[in-house]
Amino acid sequence: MIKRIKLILIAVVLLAAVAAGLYFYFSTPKKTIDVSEGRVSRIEEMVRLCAVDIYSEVPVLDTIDNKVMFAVQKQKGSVLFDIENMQVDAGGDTVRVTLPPEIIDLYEATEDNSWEVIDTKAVGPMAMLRSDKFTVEEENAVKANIKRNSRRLLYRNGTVKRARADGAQMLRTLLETVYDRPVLVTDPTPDGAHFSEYR
Amino acid sequence: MTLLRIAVCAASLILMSACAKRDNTALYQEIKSADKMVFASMAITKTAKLESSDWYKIGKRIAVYSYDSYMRAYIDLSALQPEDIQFDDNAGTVKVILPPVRTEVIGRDMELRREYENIGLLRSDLDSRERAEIKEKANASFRKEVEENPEFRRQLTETARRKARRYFETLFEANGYTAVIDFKP
Repeated sequence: MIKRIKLILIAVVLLAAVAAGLYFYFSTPKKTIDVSEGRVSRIEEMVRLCAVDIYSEVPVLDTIDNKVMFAVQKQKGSVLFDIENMQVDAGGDTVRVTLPPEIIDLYEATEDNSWEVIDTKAVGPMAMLRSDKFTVEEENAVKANIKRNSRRLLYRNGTVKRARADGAQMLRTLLETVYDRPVLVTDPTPDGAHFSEYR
Repeated sequence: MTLLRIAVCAASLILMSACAKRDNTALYQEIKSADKMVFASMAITKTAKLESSDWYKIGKRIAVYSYDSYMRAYIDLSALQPEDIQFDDNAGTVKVILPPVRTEVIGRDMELRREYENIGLLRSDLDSRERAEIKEKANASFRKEVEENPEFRRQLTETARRKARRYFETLFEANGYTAVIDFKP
């Protein structure tokens, strides 16, 4: 009888140990995220004409170091022209200016879920045995590719061309108001100053 | 829009099962003409720390990342009317009343800066979803701060006003006028 009770007790203890082990193995540890207060790290003065604002959502499918990531990113951006250092020839009856190269600012949006990682996986030889987790550096490499692809798209779909045309018009209107004379804006690269870099 | 997004996500996930390659197309794109003159921008750094621990886990799991979010100050050029610029040829002066300086959040860095990481040997590395979660928390905090703390906007607006004044004074000076610049409320 005593032997039987001992066996039952051992079985109960063993079961409890296994259950506790499984619980701790699969349970998610307590996770805390602390965010510091925002700190102004830079204030920059500038004089830039913003011709176009861009908002887009892009699917991201990229492979870095035999790891694949699929994500969706919301982006915000603008096409601007630095007019502060622009040469203005106001000597004659007509004021002449040349439209400067465009500046494309491209950022991740600040709306909810602007960077949503759907899945990651390892590919290639021994994929099953390797981690599918991206390091910060690998993730940043994916982001650099996204930025490059998005810029390319802006050149290819004519957004930059449109922004340059709009920018030239804005500049003409502004300078005509200031100089009270006709203004001729010349655009040496209507498709974009960096068009050839994004073929 | 949602259906389209789901369809593209599904298609892309199927593609993932094959050899993955980069994708260029946008799910959605909106291009808006703007008529803004930007005079200042501000970078605001947010730092976030993730720590996951429990008494039964051996080793630490701490990661600290930072990134910048950006605001800018501009005037809406389409609000500038001809009567806002009054020349006095006799006195050689011009009185300019510029539209009010506005501010807006323009976005955040795509990349994260790794400030610190301490992941114990028996602990798992952080994955991309966790890093996205960290950024999401930091972003929510940033938006709340910008909304509740007028200091960011005030500092940016002041800088932009100063710059706009200087720029227009120089511009009119080159045209032979002394400019008096003011802003609409």
